[in-house]
Amino acid sequence: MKTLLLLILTLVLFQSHGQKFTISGSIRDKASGENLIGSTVFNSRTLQGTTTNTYGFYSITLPQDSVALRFSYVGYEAGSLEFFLSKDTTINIELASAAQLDEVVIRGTPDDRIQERTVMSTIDVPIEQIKSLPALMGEVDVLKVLQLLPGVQAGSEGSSGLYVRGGGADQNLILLDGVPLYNASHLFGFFSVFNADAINHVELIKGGFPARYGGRLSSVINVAMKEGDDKKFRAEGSIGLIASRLTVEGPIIKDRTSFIFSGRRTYIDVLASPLIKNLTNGEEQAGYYFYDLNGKVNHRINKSNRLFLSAYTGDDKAYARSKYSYTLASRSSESRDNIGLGWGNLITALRWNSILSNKLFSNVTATYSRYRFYVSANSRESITDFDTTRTTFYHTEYNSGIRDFGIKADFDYIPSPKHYVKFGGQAIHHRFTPGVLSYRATEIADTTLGAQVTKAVEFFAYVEDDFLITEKLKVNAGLHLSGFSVENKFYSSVQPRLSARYLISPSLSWKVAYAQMTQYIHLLSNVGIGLPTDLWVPATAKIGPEQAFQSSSGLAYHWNDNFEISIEGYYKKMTGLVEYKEGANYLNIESDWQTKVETGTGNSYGGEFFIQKKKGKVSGWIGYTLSWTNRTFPNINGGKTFPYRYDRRHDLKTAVVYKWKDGKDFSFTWVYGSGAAVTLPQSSYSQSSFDQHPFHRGDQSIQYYGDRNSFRMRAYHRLDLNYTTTKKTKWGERSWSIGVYNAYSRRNPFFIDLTYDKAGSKKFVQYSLFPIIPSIAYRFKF
Amino acid sequence: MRRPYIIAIVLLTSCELIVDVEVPFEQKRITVNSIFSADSLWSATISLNRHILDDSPFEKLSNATCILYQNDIAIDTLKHLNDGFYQSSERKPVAGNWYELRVVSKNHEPVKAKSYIPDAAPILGLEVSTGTTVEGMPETTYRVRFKDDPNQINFYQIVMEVEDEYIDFQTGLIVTSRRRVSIESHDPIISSENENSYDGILLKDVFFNGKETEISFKTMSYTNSTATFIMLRTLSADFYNYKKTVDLQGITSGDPFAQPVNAHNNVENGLGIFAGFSTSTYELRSPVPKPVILSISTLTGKPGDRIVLTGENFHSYPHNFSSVIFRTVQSIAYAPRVFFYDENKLEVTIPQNAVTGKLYVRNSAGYTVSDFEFEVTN
Repeated sequence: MKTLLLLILTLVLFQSHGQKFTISGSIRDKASGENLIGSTVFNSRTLQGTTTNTYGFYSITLPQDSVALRFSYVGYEAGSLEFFLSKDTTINIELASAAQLDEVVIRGTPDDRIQERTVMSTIDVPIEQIKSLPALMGEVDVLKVLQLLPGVQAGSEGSSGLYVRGGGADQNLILLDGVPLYNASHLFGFFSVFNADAINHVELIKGGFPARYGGRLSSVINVAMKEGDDKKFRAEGSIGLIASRLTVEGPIIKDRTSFIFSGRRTYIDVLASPLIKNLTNGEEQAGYYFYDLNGKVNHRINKSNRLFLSAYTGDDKAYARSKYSYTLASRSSESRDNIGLGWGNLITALRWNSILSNKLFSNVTATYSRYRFYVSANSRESITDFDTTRTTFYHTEYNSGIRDFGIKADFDYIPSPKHYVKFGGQAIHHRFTPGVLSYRATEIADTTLGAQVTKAVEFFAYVEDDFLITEKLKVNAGLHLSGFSVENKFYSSVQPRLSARYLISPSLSWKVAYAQMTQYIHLLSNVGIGLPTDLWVPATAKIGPEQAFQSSSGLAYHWNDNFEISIEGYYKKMTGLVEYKEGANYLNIESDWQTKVETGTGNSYGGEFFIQKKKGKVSGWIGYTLSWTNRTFPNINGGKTFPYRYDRRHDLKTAVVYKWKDGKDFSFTWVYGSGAAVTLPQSSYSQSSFDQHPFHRGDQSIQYYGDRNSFRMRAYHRLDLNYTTTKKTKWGERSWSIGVYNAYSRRNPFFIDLTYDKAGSKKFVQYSLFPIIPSIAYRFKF
Repeated sequence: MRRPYIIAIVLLTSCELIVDVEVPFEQKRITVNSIFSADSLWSATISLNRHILDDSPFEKLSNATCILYQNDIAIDTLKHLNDGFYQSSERKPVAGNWYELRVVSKNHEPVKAKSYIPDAAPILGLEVSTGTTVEGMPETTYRVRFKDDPNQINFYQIVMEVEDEYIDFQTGLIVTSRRRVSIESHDPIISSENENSYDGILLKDVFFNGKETEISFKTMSYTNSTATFIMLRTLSADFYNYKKTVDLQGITSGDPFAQPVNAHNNVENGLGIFAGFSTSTYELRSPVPKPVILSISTLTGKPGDRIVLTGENFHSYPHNFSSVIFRTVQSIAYAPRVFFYDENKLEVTIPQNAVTGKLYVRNSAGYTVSDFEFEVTN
């Protein structure tokens, strides 16, 4: 076989009397030792196959006979192996990345083909493709690439929020190495927290959820961090307009223990701070920054046991400080004011992978995570009259957050090529602090206002089997049981999950799926654009959990060995959705949040078309979505159903990467979405003068808005371009990336406001956020 | 706290674009504004709405027919007085009843609205205490006690009015006026939306349905007022919702990121509000009667001279003594120094800018004017 392919064969003997034997092992990247998640193992003799799980582990049980195995992964040179299977065998294989070969157009390999998988509504995007696509201000952003997929709405301009199939921004289960992340955004939503250099794999599931996932209604976003090169030290990084990144990885003990450490920080504050200081004679200082740190250590205890310790922390901080002083006759005064605002996540996970037998794989994880948000202001003033000094101060702080401890155990059991069983469970202890204001000042006792801390326990158990019933029919059936205990109230839910595929022809299949999901936490958002001030709250005795029922059906077609094409229709119903009452405000924290919300239902239905090409000279995708999304709240809009804010009738997305020449890539994305739904006033009428303040009497008007979200803003469309040139240098590799966001400077609507023009007449004015924005970034790797 | 940041970002990078938003506006609709209570004649203001981009004054309807119904039987017709204002000649609403107002006008779709006037809830007691605010300003706290009707959901509004007396500079007459004052409440029974408000406190009976309850609220101290009126209104649901939503619309309308709020509208095919309420009032007056001037030591004097007044009730509630006021060319002047005082006698100096005219004595119950003129010589 290919000379560049390195095979490590370890034959382990087992006493076995059966007719069938199990081949198991792992598939990893030859150069770095990273797991290749979702690679295929296929026996061309029996036409049976399997794929590696999230930890690179696979297992296939075949009859005693000669086997012709083929190991393949997108973007990697495939490997083959033929031998006579007469005992249980372990094969750990390492594949070489196609990028590391001389320019060869890789012929399609029989991967885990779309038409053969039971799962539907699931898309994975190769991380290299994510890095090649244009990005706002040159900051590669994983979540923003997911926004380019059909069925996903981006929310407002520039934001990294995800609204999947009519769901809310809080309904995405964002898992970083299996640990849920509560707020995945930086800089008021313009950037997401994921540092692409530290990421191995990204997957989005929009429907037909396998039983192992639960806790959110609308999507699962699986982000797996790299594990660190266990062969040699490497570093990569970039210097961009917004931030700089650096990732280092390497072995601690070669082939045994490795680490990866990755950091990112913005530096606008570092540049602006001296400027502000100079302009204000040192009296004022202000700034904003965010940073991310990812770290992971992984250790092979022995052939069947591995230990991982991973951590992520990221914070956004904004601050303003001022200092004033004056001296007047015998009096001198000095005052200092500080205002701060910040939010951030901290998550850590300790994971133990164990191959219990060649058919049973286990993964046990202990996790800790916390999210917090704060606003603080303090002031101190000292006044000196002759010899006496009087100091006054006040300090206010508003805090909200969640702290979780969790333990999780997952098992993969592969008894035969016809079954792939997964089962496991999880328990999380939550501690919610939904908005506490504390106040301290001279001569005033410490005061604390706001909702009480709520503690809750959430747990689930699941079992699923990916079952090949006949060659044509394959079913993934499962059950997810979950429970939530809060305030002496216990909620439980039984969630059946089913997805199936039926092969109409070898390259075409018909799929159906049904999934029920329950979510025990809510996000209260009164702006709807994903701000850190949005409040995470638990289901309580008064406000119950959210539930979703989704069914979907569609066709999957593998065309010309290169294109994956899918067409799907879905219908989703959601209950227990939570929204602020009309006009309620989060800052009014003196009262309990539970008195400020309404509950209601929602539905979403539509069709999605998706064509994806993952490799080759030209790669990328086109996605089109036709959908309808509505909400119904008994006490909002007079009980009438109204379109959801992110209801888009038509939505077209294109992402293309073109490998022009060796080391020279062009890419572009173009998105089009029909206008967002907004509420605008239609007319005005006279307000009753009864009880009006005499100052206003008689001239007050009331605006009549009609039904909620009954207007559509202009259509949204945008073209982004990127050109990357990569060059090998003596020390490694460097690349320049030049990009343009909103290339034809379309004035896309951000919001519409009523205002007066220069002539004094009333007008509707549309505000846009980003005109054309060029960017440049320098990346290096060695 | 939240918005300045977003707005800053928008201002830094945004571009404006005037867009034509096509607002569906087929025809003008009738606006009815009619708030009724048991103490007043029926009245309604009838006008037309306007396109959102139109800023001209609302067109008032003078040719509308406004007929009042009770149980589908017409009971009165409101007459047009002026500028779209209609009034009944003598009929007044009765508490506990439902009424319907139907308005018909040529060229417009006829509208109707139905609402009721709830029974008043008597004030069972009122406690008053005084204190100071954090800033050291005097403030008064009131605790009003009443019983909720268990048979229905009730909506309440507590408002406060004070009665002031002042001297009209031109005529020298004592004028009495009444005005609404702002109050605020931190009573946990009330949801937090009650800031220091001119419209008082709005509350539902959720926490005290069918029970006797006590609501506390406070104001700055109005020490110059001669009387205080605590008014407990029972509002119809329509009136309560109208007040709440109009208020919310005011709060949210300047914020492009807030979800706009429609005002509660109970006019079928039209716009506006038709709603009733009842009031029970608790009046607080000084326990001291007004001063009485019986005699004066002299009827002439020059600024700086001392004069002695004798009479009755020359003290104020709770602890001050009365002031003596002289007229000036443009205004009035308080006598600067009181040399001697008791309930029946005041000795003061004549102020520098005093002119000839009647004298006034003021205590906590108000002013008394002398029946004689005092001549100021130079």
